[in-house]
Amino acid sequence: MENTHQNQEPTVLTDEQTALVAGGLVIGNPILGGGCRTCTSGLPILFQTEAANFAK
Amino acid sequence: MRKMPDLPKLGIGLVWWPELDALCSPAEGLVQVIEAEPETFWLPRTAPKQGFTSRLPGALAHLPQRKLLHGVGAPFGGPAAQTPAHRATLAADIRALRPAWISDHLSFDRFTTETDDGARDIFTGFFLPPAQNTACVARAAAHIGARRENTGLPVAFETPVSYLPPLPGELPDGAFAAAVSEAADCGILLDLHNLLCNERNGRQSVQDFCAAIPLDRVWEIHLAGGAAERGFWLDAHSGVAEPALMDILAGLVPKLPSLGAIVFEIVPEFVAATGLRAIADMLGRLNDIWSTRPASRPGQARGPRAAPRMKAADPIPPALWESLLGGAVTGRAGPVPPPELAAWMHQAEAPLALYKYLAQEGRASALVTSVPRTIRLLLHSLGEMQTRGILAQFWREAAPAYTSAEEGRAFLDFIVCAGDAMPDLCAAIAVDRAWLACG
Repeated sequence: MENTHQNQEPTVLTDEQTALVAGGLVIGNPILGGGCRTCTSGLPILFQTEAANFAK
Repeated sequence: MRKMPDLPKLGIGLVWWPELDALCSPAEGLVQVIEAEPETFWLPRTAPKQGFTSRLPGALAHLPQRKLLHGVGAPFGGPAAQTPAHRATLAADIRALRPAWISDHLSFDRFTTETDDGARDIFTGFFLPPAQNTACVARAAAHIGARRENTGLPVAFETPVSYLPPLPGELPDGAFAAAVSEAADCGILLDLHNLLCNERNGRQSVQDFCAAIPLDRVWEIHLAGGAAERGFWLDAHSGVAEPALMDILAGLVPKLPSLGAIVFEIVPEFVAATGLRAIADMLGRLNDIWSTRPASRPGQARGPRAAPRMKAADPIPPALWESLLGGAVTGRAGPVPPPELAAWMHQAEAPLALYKYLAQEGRASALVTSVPRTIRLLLHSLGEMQTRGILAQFWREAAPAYTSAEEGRAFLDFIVCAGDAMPDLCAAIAVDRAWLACG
């Protein structure tokens, strides 16, 4: 397959998008090997939930 | 000789997520202390900047309660010391939030492996239980002492969960925790649901564990709900504490003279299904139990004790333990286990497979938040099975990353190199890269 991604100009987000993104990353991105959702002992379910959403 | 710190009696708390914020209003009268896992609010900066930007103080600014910080990024049970970047960001959070004490896990999250280019640290993608022996006691005590020195705060460690069978010759769970607390001269964060999991999965009972530890070192208790998975009882943080756990708590609290907080943990994804009403009811019962704690005692002078002397040699060096477990969980070639461990390794196959599954689901879930457009496009276009096939290839090539952002970047690089031709994939990747660059 043709590789067209690597040399692409980076997308520039607006200030509003940046703020939204930052909020999402902060709340939604626990450190791997740490973080309530991935570190302790439970079954992380975000991917399963997302997959179920697209299976509907 | 160190005087045991006179810690404030903070009360009932929860590990804060936005989904729980409605319960934290002082007007509700349910929550007197807010605990946060700081690293989950840290954004890794991108080159040329290094380190992290913490959003935690801003996220908690509206909450007037006292704060506690419960680390999830530099555990005490492993080989690695706290990194300078972690130390600096935690120090900034401490300056802003002024916690009464801090804590972290008595687990490990990385191991060292030999490669053609020399020794390399590999992240496990999941907290794993430490080797319970004298070498690990000494190493954990050193980590805890360093954390106390670096922060100037009292430090406690959380008692770990383990899905592994007991290793012949290891220190029993309670004796190991007791030895660490005495050697480090520190507090104990008694995670009662971890102990319940250990008991149900064939390890030491909660009662025997509590009989083995110095109860006057218990500063904090964690409670959570669990779930069954693959024949194990998981510390899933998936609901309110079950009645059996509440009974254990009620029996224990009157015996804990240094108890400063009882903190409830739930994964935010389970809050809606559990319901705020159910959580509020449980917090009310916790407040009732809190009122049964014994009167405070003045801080006693206590000194650290040496690690316990074992009659036999430690059954396994920590580095070998970590490489065996880490290799199994990450799917990387590990060392050949010594013959005397063969029977135990056979017993450990099912729990190690569980850990591998949990770690991989964690990696997949991290991508949902770090590269959402790419993941959604793959799921939408290919379905779950094929997407999981791509993820399996990625996991074989790339070890877990420390942060979700790094995991996301690595996955995007993998997709690009794999060259999956798919309409709109370029745009999804570009936007996800832009998101990640915001750090």
